[in-house]
Amino acid sequence: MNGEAVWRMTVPPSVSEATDPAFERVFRAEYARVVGIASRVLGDGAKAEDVAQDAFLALHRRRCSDQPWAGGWVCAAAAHGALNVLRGDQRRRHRERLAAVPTETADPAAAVEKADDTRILRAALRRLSPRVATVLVLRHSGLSYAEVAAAMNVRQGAVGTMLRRAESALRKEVERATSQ
Amino acid sequence: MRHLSEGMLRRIHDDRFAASNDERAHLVGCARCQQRMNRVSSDVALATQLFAADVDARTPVEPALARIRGRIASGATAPTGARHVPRRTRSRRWALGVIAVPVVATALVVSANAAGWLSIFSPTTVAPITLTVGDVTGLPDLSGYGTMHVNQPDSHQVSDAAAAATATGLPLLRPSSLPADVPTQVHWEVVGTGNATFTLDASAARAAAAKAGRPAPQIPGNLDGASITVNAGPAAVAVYGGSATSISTDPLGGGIPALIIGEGMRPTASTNGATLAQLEAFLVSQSGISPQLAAEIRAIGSPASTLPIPVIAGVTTSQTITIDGVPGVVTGDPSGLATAVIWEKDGIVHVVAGALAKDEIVSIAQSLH
Repeated sequence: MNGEAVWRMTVPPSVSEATDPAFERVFRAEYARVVGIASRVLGDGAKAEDVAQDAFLALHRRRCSDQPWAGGWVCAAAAHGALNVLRGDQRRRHRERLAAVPTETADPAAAVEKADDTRILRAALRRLSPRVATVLVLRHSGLSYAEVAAAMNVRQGAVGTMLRRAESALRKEVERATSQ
Repeated sequence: MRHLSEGMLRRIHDDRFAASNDERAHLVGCARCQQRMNRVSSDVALATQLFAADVDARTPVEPALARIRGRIASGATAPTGARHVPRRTRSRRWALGVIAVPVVATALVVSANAAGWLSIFSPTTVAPITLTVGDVTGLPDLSGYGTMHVNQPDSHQVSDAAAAATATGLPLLRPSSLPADVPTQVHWEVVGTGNATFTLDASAARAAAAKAGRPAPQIPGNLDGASITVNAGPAAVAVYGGSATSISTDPLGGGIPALIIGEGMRPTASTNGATLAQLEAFLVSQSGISPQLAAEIRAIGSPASTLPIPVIAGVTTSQTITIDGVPGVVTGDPSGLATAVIWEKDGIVHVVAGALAKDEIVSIAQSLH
């Protein structure tokens, strides 16, 4: 077995001592979008920025910023990272339950509705498989079909099918949660 | 005309011109497809509503860039989350490999034949061995403890599976089916046989330990000059997705493959001038090998015939599984970025790995025939 090749694919190289122009170019081009992806999953700006930092650091470790798929890769890494944080963050669930209680706002009904949507979405994302959740997060963060395909390393023609299945699965999760 | 696929209906929802004229005409005239289209639209609307978050689009970039520059300059590899791959991991990779082979052979009772080469490792099964991040960072850098001579195997691409089978002599297994989103384009790469021989040198080891600020290693006299040779190959790898760039020379040059399916002859190891018990005692006694790691090594059970799959706690996950009637190990990134399943049967080590969910990778592995 070509063990070194497999090893190098799955274990990133160490960080070099300095950044490089290609990396900074990708960072500037993609940072806002990467934070947006993590924000949609986590609903917490500070945590989203941490996830974005980790995603870009992982990109830098792989020394592949000059590749055409680098932007898509870092978006997918951010989605994975945010979903990982979401699944592991038990305290967040507690805070979300508290957030479901209406607070003083100009439109309390709308606030309750929004809090419910947020809670329902995050509960569903925790239960969906990582791949299904990722395609949802990427597409509904504004990535085009071509960008989703590049980020997930699939054919562009497969994105519609993946997205359809993912949205159908999301509905089932939502219906299951709201029927309980 | 056939009814439109669910995927096409979803694409039409976003871009009606994604469909051909015939497909659009069908949709207009087909009550069933219109009904399905309504369900698609309803599901899209629900997802859009749920994802309609208040995201601040004015996230300042330059402070964030300054922050990551600082993290890179300080050598930070520790994500703010749970994943942590220490800087020293890469420089210790080969040390892991060197350790893995002799230590798994610990309990083998070898006959006294110090003058000749003894086969000490010929695995027939696989098992995970868990390392902590501390284990990895604490491993002594054994590169200075002797000399390593490597005969790199020849590696090149071939046109198809038949050519790969001919080049390697391996009965290449193929999957019955693949997930729809795995690219159908396959590149085949074959790797010839190679070997690496490490010869211990007591004086060099003492100098290297002193330079690293570690205690002088205690090397029994008959280990000074003893060699371990690891043989590997041939192997063949099918790469789905990515470009035709050779993964052995530029693993990321063609993009991260969606899937790789590989098989190779099991690696073997032999030694001269030392018994396995002596080698194991030497390696486990090195400063930096934790008692827990030593216990993990001893717990393998049948070390001469077990190929250990290193699993780094908190960085990679692992699970044992049965594939084709034999034990296998599923390992991967906890976030689901990559998964691999590894097993050995009839002297051949099989690997299925890729950026797919664990269930999909396992399903592909179980479908090989």
